[in-house]
Amino acid sequence: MRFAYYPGCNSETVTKENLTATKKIAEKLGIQLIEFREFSCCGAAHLNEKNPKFNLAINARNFALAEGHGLDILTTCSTCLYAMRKAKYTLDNDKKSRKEIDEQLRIFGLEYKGKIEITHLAWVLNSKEILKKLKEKIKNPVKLRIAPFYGCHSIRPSKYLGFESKNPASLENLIKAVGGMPVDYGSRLKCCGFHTLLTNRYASERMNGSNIKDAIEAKAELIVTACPLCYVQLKLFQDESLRLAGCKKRIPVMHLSQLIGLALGLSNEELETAP
Amino acid sequence: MKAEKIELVVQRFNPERDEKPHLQSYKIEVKAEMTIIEMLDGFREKYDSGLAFRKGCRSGICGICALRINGQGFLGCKTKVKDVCFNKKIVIEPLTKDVIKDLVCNTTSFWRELERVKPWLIPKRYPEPLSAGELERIDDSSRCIHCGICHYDCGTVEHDSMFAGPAVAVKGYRLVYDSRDRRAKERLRQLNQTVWRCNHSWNCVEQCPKSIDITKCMDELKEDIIKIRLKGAGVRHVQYFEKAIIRYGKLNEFILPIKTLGAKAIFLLGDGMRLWLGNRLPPLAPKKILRLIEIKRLFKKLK
Repeated sequence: MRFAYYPGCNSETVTKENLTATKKIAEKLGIQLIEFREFSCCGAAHLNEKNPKFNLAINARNFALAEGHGLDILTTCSTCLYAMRKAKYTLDNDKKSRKEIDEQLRIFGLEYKGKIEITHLAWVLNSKEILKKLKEKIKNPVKLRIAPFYGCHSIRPSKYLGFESKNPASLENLIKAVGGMPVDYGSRLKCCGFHTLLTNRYASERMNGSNIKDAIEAKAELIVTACPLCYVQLKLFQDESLRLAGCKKRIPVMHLSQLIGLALGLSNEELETAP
Repeated sequence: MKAEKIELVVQRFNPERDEKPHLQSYKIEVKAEMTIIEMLDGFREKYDSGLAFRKGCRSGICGICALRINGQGFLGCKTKVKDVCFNKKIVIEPLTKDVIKDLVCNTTSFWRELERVKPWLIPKRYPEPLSAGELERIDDSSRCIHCGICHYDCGTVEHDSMFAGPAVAVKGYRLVYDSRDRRAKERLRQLNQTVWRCNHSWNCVEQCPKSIDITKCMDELKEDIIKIRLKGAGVRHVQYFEKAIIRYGKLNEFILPIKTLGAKAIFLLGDGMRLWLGNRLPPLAPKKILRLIEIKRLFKKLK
């Protein structure tokens, strides 16, 4: 299995450990990740609000670069997943914009053919082949009560994402596969508030606090998330958020890649799991 | 069609008797093809005639039967038992926490937000009829039935009293792009105070019973707010996104907070220090991508 790896800006800077852990587990599971230094930012949920055509064009360029090598794109960031899949949906349905963008891409020797698939690490890990391999390679089962936190942009809007139904189970499947016990709690599909952390911090932290408190009250021992932006909220802004929510307890948080890595026998140092 | 037994969990509250609302479980017989309203009607006939709930047109037009089913908003008259019955169980609660009786709740907070954007056409002196293109643009947003599902299913509305909610943006969109209305700019100015508070969690899009493309409404409103040079942290945030992509091909997460917040970024010093201590501080300038010239050209040519 080979993919063009798209870590997203955040995993290259603030959450570098996600990038490290993803590469290590991919190697163990026989997933080949090809890095492209030519890849640009996907525009996240924001560039589209300012300059939709430019947003489409930079995504089409990334797609064409990967397609040129016969690769699908794998990302570990839910917001990149949403932005890219939304751009692909628009490119595939808006012929006029696509023609205009194609003309520009041709100048660079690129062509967007529309055949590429944009996928997420959690989705690939849920494929029959990889899930079987994962179960076979478990060395260190993580026997904890684990609360899955999906992150909005890996499930909504289903028009663009479409991998799982309204009641997703990909994270629960992986938690079970690594020997953990998935915790069912009300906030598992809720918004972490990351996108307004700068512009509306109080509400952002209130949302975050309410989600974490919910997981703690459901007796979770660990929260695992498939999105580095949710990780920033859940982990780095946990203290302030829980203070607002009136909760004194704290809970460890991990990237999905780190959880899988631990189960595969990698050490905390190798996975850079923060205390 | 054969009836089957399921567990129906309903929120009950009688203000004359109960201190607070509570969930009550019943074993009832239902048919999979029944709507939730038909199921509740049957429940009232066979099990408890005292259950209070709202119903109206039964055609998905009046929006009055909005309920919280298994934790998410649905129209009772459009939702079938088979679509929401998991493991032979359905949990039904009122849409809001402000309960009047059983499943009947107060939605005043929603209507108050909607009123603030003057949700009616304020016509120009000599309005021209809408062109086919104009009509097509506002057609989707015109289908909003004001059921309040998007409002009460929104996590941001729940935690941010300053966010007017998705339905207000949809109504704003409907009127801003109606060329007969004379308040487009004022409306955009007003919407500038709220649309940037949205978290893009898109529960609203998922749950809208009319499948209105709320992401499109939000994106286009924001684009025009920037075009007419309105100001604010949200505007600056998005503007710097574009600048950074042109300059580096990727985001500059060090500068982004400073550009977004301006002088107020001083309050982020503590966060910066924490990131630095945890070896997480983004670099002052990210490494530029290869073939950056292509990004610059795309920007120039596709303006």
